[in-house]
Amino acid sequence: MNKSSEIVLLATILIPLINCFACSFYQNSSKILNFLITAFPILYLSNLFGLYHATVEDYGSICLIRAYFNLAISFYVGPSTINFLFLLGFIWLVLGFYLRRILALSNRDKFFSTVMLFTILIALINFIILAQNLITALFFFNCLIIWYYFFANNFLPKSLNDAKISSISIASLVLYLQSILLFLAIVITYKISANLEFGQKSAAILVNNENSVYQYLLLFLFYFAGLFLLNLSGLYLLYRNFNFKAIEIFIFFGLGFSLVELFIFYQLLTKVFGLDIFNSLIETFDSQYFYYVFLINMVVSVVLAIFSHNLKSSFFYLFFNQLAATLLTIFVFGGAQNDRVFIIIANFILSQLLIFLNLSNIIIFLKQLQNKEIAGLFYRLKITIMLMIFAFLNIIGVAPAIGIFEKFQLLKTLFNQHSTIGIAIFALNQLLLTIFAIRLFYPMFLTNDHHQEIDETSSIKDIDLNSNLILPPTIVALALILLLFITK
Amino acid sequence: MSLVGNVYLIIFLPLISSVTCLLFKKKLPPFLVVVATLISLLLLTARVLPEVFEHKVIANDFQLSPISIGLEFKLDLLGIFFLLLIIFIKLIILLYYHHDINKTLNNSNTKNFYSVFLLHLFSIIGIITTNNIFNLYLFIEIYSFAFLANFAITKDVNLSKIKFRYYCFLVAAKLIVLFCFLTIFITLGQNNIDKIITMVPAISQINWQFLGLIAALVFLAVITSFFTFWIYFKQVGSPQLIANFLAFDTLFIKTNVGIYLILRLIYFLFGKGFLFATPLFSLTLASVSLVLIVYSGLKLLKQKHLKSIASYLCLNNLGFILAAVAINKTESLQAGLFYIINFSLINIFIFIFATFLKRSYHTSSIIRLADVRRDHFLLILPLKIMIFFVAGFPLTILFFANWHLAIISLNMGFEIIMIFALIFSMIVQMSLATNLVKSFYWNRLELNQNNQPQLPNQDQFFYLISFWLIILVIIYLSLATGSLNQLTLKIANYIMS
Repeated sequence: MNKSSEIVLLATILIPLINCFACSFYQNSSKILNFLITAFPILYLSNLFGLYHATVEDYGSICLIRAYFNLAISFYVGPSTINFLFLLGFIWLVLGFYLRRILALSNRDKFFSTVMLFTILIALINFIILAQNLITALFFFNCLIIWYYFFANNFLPKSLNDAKISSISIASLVLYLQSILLFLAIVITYKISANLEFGQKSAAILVNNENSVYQYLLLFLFYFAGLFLLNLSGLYLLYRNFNFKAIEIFIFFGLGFSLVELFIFYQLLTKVFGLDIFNSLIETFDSQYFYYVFLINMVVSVVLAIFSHNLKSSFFYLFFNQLAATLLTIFVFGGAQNDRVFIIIANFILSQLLIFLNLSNIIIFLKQLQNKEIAGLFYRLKITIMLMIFAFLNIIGVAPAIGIFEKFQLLKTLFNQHSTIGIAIFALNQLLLTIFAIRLFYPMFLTNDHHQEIDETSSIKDIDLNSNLILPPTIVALALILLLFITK
Repeated sequence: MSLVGNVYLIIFLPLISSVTCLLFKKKLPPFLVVVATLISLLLLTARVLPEVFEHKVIANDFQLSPISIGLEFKLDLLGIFFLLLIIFIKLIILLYYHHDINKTLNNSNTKNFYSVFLLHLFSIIGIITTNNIFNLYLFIEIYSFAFLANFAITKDVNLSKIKFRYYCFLVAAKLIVLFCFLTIFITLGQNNIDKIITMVPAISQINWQFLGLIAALVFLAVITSFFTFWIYFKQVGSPQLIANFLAFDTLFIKTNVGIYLILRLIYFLFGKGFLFATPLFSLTLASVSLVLIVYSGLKLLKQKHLKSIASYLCLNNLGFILAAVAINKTESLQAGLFYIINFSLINIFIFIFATFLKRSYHTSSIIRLADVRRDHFLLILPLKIMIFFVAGFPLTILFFANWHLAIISLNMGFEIIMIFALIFSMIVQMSLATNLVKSFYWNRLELNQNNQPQLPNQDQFFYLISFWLIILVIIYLSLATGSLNQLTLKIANYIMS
């Protein structure tokens, strides 16, 4: 790698970090802070184009600390990571723009805390995507766990009762367990191969060996539990009727954590196990055991979403449903069409982002109403509701966006694999999602006889015409459509 | 100066400086003498290190008389490792408590204190470098004398009681040591440890009961002399200077000397061939370590005071060091050495920070960390950095300790139980780190604005120096983990050979 490429890579590593320091330095000036949160993502994205061109022919890497054979804190960029970096840059830009509305709605302290939390999260995700080896990924994954604890204690309402606080503690404990399982999985990988680096072109860390298939399965389970124990263990049942007051914080947490987990999982499939081992694992051991785990999670979460009386908690369950669905899709595609995994992850992240941005707009609007009912909401928030419907059609698989392509390909692959259980899960989930969508949107189209008065003191009166609020979801919806063309 | 001359200087410099301290009438010169001595010792040890690293052992013995103090020494990789650690700990303790010493003691007591402080160091260096059982006994004697002399100036009744109990243990231990060494000398006709080592395999075949009895007695003596820190646990919260010195000595210096002696006894004097061939030796050690790890882990989860957190972390680390010895493999010993470094640096930092907190805010409770964050940015920053090291983040000292232990524990043997201990301990470490993060930020609304600490600038200066010195050394070691891994690997290989 030549010097100029190294500098571009270094800039990619440093821009989010400098953003953290810059935001911290200018915490007292709202205007500068406002400028920084939109300027840095643009700088980052423009830098990514330079990085893309610099690494077309060569992989770039920077090593900060090399400790012991292959144990190091080092960063690299390859063709697959560039895609994720662009996805991160896009999310950063959209959410950065969206963050401006927090300034309009809340006090400066809260704005600053939210901005800092957000910028630290972006920097951590950036580090994880650029991680050259499992040790570096584990380092920043641990940082993310501490970040989560900070988030949980600072941003969730302090009026929570003991049961809810203990559920935060349980979630923390599970996250610690995840970190330890990842650590043990990395130790086992190191014991097997004495190599932990992702950097080698198309070569996986583990070598396919028929005698080691049980060992690899155990290792795979360690990694899988290390990444998704919290999401797939049904722990969300503890959070029933959990009223997340700070919805934007939840967006950061949910999307940030899941993006990291899915990215590391993608790296494991492509760079640690490789397609051969993953396929032999699926062939040797019935992959339908994994399907059952996803099935239970998908059905339970969507049923909870349908029967939830709280708008926020129903979307909270929908998030877990979609994560399980995404994992199912990765499992189906992962072994056969590895290049599609990024599209699946991008679809999940962007559709969830779109849903939560719209949900946030709806919540802002409802706060201004006296009786806070959603009946007739479509006539007051036409663009937002249309975008929300588009998001739902995308996850159900009928909108002209990436979702339809993904669902079609998934069904095709399942038919080819003659996986009855897979098809059954998919059909049931889509049916339940449709029921949920109908239940959600039906009241919004009803004519409301009792015209609700908007609070005149409110700082935001027309959400559909407020660029800070409506532009981010619109751009995300466009990105979902564009993704369909990129796939072609 | 020649290599041998350097080692002799390392041994005798504290003794010469100890006498020099008594010549001054004012408080400052003795302090400067001690600081200069410690820095010189660190530099001399660092100068000798490459030679020891290359040759593994540097020894000199004129064999002039059975008790030949000053005429024999043996400095090996293990010895120099502990030497560096202990001298550094002594330097930290000196800088940190300098202002307290000045405030608490008068001119006469100050010079006596510093003199005994150096005598104490002299005895430790002697214990580490001697290769003669009678010299070893002699240095243990000087050690116990210096230990008691250092704490003789206290007028606190509770501390005096504790001191007396320590004294009783030390006397009992020394009698056992003397009896054992005399028996060895009478039986084998040798006082040189190297020569005794060559005779051990033959004795173990002829009369293993005798060797077993001697081994058991010597271990008992070392444990009662150097690991009786539970006596002090009730007094750990005391803000007194002497109490803190006592805590420091019992928790960190005594324990390090104890660990060194245990390793020496197991791997050199009695030979690992004899002890590890004994049925259930490894299992017993592993069981004791498991109990220590689980007990200290459970206690750690409940602790809210930094001093008790440091104390239980010490216990936890000791459990893992014992586990590393029990597994008895190169990787496990490497893990053990990393735990020793962690024990000697991270835990010390937490302990002295707790002392600072107690003195400035009248409690060492972690709730007060939010106040320190508000009042002293430069003082709290090292503790913030320390969170990564407490949680065992990748490439920190604790990470490598856990890493090497995990690698060796993932085998089909009794060592697999250590994986569960490791998982439990890692949960505790993460929980501790997140609790510290919570204390920094979550309590900020409950800050007591009227409870402003009274910290004179001079105090702050010494706190800053001590905190930053430790944290910089820790960061340096993390950045140079490649060299540190090589060093520990070489020491572990040396011990196993």
